[in-house]
Amino acid sequence: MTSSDSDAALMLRVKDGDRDAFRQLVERHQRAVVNTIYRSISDAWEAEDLAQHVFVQVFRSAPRYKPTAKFTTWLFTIVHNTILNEYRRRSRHAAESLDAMAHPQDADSAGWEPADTRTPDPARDVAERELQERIQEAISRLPDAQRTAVILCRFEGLSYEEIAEVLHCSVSAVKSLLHRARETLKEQLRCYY
Amino acid sequence: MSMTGKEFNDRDEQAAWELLGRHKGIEPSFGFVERTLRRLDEPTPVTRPVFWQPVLRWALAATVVVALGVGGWTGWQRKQQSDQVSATRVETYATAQQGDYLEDLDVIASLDQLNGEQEL
Repeated sequence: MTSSDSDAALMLRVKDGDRDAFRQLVERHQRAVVNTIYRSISDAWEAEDLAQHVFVQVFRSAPRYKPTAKFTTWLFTIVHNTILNEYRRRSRHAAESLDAMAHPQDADSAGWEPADTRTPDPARDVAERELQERIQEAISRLPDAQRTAVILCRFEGLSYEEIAEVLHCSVSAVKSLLHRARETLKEQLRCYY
Repeated sequence: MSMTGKEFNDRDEQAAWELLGRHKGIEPSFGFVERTLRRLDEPTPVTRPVFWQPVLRWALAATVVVALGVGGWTGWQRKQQSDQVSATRVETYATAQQGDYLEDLDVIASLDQLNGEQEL
């Protein structure tokens, strides 16, 4: 049984209100969901809150789930929609948005540490921290669809077909989005490679 | 899925793409799963009525203003036309009262009478 089949099987149990199956799904996908949102909105606390919201949506939408689609594709579609809603909400509260976007390092100051960042050399630590911030900033500045395509392709390993399904577009459109995103990232990160 | 070198336009693009891979994610905080499960039991947050969404509110206000404007303008136009028609009628009636026109009508009536007699 593949991981995907297993997800679908768990979802069928969630359909019947099985919370243990739901717990397994959350445990399995929490990191991917939290990080996809975090890389999009640059706010660790908000990312966790939205990730929980995504999983609650999964639970409540379970009766409508059809195992014809891969579970992760369905899950990331909910994640993508949640991120878009968050951007809409932030655009209505512009000040809040600008504040969060301008200080992606807030994640660290609020007690969050990116995984495995401990290095014995302080100078190297500072350089590494700056690199992390610049990459995060470069990703955050991409247009919505490009950003999601990059995150799903580069970090979550989704295929072009799966990304196309999440973004409701064609595979060639996904390739185009990734091409434009790579061009932008190349310019923004030029001094770091 | 990692992209193959063939998909990159140049080495810089590939280098930037590989650099992205150095971005470290975050770990969900302790108790994330438990908190998520607890949220299942929370009542669904009551969403604010659609009417109060700022954009819709402005759109509705603009629509009301435009509707009132168009309605007022149309009513004013109709009243103007109605007044004009009334004035024209009065004017026509007054003109018809003048003798010349009555004489002309008498001549025409007489001619009609003559034509009728010739046909007989």
